[in-house]
Amino acid sequence: MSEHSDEHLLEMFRDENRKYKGFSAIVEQYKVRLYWHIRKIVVVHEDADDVLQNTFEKAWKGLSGFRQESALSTWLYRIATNEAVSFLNQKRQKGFAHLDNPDSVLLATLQDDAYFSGDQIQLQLQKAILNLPDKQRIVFNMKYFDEMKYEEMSAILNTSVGALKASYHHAVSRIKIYLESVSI
Amino acid sequence: MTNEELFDTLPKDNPFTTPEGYFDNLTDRVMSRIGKEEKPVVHMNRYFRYIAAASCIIFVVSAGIWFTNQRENTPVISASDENAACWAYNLDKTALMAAVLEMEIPETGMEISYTDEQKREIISFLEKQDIPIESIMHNMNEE
Repeated sequence: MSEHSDEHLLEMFRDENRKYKGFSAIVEQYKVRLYWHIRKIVVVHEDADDVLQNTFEKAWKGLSGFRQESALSTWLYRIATNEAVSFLNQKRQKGFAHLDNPDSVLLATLQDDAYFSGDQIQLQLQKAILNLPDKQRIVFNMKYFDEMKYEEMSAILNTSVGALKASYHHAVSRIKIYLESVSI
Repeated sequence: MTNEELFDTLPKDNPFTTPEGYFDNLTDRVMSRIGKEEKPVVHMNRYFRYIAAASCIIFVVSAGIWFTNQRENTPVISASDENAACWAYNLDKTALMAAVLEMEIPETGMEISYTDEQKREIISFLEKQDIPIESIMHNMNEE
């Protein structure tokens, strides 16, 4: 299916008679990439589904006030990232994780996840990624897997390009140390 | 091994999967959820809105006038403007006189007579209220 321009999608949304249709087209256009962005942060499919629904709900409520100071995709990614990180923090606060290793639940989930089809090397890489702090993990995923440009990441994460490069560099170093420790 | 060499050997494929057909009905589920959250909005025609607003203002002003009149007309004789006076002696002359004299209002159809002193009190009151005395006197003398 061909992609609509932001202008076209927003024009539809702002027309009261086509508001639902316009937003439906936005969901259709961005649902897959936002899902995978969220999924890499929260890991579990069911959690990713919840966070994605919340993301679109927030977008629906806030889109009338969207001033187009950034691209629509950037705005949506920003909501998705905030929602996913908030979700993880709430999950940690509710005691779903152990104090010595906050993401031990995520790591355990990864091994038993019915929706994880990676081989041993991919499993170890994902474990290494889950050992990173949230910010480094998000930066690494966006850069390494999504091949997103630093400038776009900077707009989404509201962080300077220099700080993002440093985060990515630290993430890579820590992943390397982890993988060498498990003899990959 | 450098970082570059290491990451050259690592897969970039997405190792995660989703339940079969997950994305197929995702848009419908999102829109359904949004639809449940939304309360129905009634869109009014622009002119209808003006009419509705004007009606509200008229209603509020009318209600205010009505309440004010209710208070001013109790007792009837306390009204000092010309309209109230007309209302008083054209429609309920007996009540007017009773109020002036601080008498109890007689039941409808009962006759009431005035002494000269009472008549002077009535005239004095009506003069203070700028109510046309000649007309009142004419009505009273007919009794």
